[in-house]
Amino acid sequence: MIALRRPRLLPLLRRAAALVACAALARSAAGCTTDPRVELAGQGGRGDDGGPALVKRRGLAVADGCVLDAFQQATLADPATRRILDEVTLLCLVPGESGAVGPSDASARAELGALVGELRRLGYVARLGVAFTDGTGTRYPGDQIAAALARPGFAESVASSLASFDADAFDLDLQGLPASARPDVARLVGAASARLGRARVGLFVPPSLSDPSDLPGGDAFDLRALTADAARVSVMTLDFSETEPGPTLDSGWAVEALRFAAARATASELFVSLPLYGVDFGPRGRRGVSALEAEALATRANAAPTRLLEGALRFDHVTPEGERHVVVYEDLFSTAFVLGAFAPPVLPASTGVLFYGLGAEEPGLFGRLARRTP
Amino acid sequence: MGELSVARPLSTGQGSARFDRGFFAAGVEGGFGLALDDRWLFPLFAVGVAHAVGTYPSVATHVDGAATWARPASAFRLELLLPGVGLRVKHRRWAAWATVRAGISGVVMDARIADQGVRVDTLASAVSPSVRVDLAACRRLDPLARLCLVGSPHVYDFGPLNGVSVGLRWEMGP
Repeated sequence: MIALRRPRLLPLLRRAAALVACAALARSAAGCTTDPRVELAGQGGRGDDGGPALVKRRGLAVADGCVLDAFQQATLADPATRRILDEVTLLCLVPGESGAVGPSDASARAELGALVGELRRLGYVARLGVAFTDGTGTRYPGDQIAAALARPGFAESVASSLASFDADAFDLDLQGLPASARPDVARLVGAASARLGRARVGLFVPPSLSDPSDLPGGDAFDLRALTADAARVSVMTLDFSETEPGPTLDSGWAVEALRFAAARATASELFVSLPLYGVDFGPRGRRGVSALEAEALATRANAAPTRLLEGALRFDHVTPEGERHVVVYEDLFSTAFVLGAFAPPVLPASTGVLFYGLGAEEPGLFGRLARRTP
Repeated sequence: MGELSVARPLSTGQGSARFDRGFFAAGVEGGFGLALDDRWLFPLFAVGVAHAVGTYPSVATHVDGAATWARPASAFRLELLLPGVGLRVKHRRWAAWATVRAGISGVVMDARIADQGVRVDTLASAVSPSVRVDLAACRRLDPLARLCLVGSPHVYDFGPLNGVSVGLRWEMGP
């Protein structure tokens, strides 16, 4: 038995002064970047390569053109890529002034048909994109497109012409339109939906944040009305920095743009866009560059790229002609960082990802993303 | 550590950013308590403050989609320890004791956030309940002073078994 004694509650002052070294146990995100100054926070799990796990989303790659080069073909043939990408859009159809959509010659159509077949064989949904460019590939000014759209029968002619192409779906890429083109855009999308079926109609829309739109061309799209005719709306959250050198994508901006679109295009599947390409800002304007070209330029200029807060890499260089340039480009880190920014609940898992510029990405990007995607 | 609270400048105010980087910190802690029957210990209150030591890469994370870099090298750690209970054994000049106590931990560090083209320097912070076990071996230096070597597993601190403290402790009392 323990004898209980009356407690001698000595008011002992226990004043402790301690030197404390705290070592928070490292549940750290190790080894996801070679940049010594920044590492990625985890999203609650780890991928096979030890990097932060990413949420599986429906993936679409956009290739600018009607053909795929050997690098693009090899990327798409890689089974790891197939885990990230579900669909491929070949952005190459061009409506003429009459509304007839090219390419129109039989051999080009046959080549395109064969490519669509090959994409399907690899397991991809094969989509064709309609870009409003002239015969030289230069994009028409917005008012010229608007004038074409306003012509009687043009929309119906485009829709009818699209039906002659073998593709699983079509994406309409209309840029820089004046607000006055709003009813004509609705007519074109309505005609395409009637001719092709709503499920086969997709739209590329500017990343507006307000109504009226804060962007040129944004008011041409009445998403509340268009959602009835377009099953897919891809918000083109690209080219954030148009004049001054800066990131191609700001994830906070992209999230706001997606939320804005989601509140309006309520019946459409939404996609957020990520750039695979880099941009070389020079005194004569902007020029798209691939990750490989950017790295080659950095090596040639003996420049050490620095990481932008938004995730992309940036370096300055001077051309042999004496022009000062700034190059901003993407790599695995920046792509994974932005994808991590979209993790639910920020953007629902039903929101797809459009990777723009297939072939410009860091080699092996999709395979490495696949290792981080359960 | 799980989530840091960071203000998003252009949106709806405060948001949380995932942060899972550990770091070392050094600092001081002071407190007082009671000893009962020379055996039972009742630590009352203590306050500790520490600053990160060493160099660490910034941690790239997000606040509601906005790119955010937190700088663990700038972190301050604050801890308020609440009353607990413990046991002490003594043998001549030597003593050993163990206590368990709950508390509140806080971390504040510099952060930078990019939100729709605006880059803002801000503070990231986090608060968590904590449970700590203190294990000490002490030697009396004089009738009122004792020097202890203390090791403290953080049973809960922003997560289970998420840290440990070691230090020297100067005790005044019997």
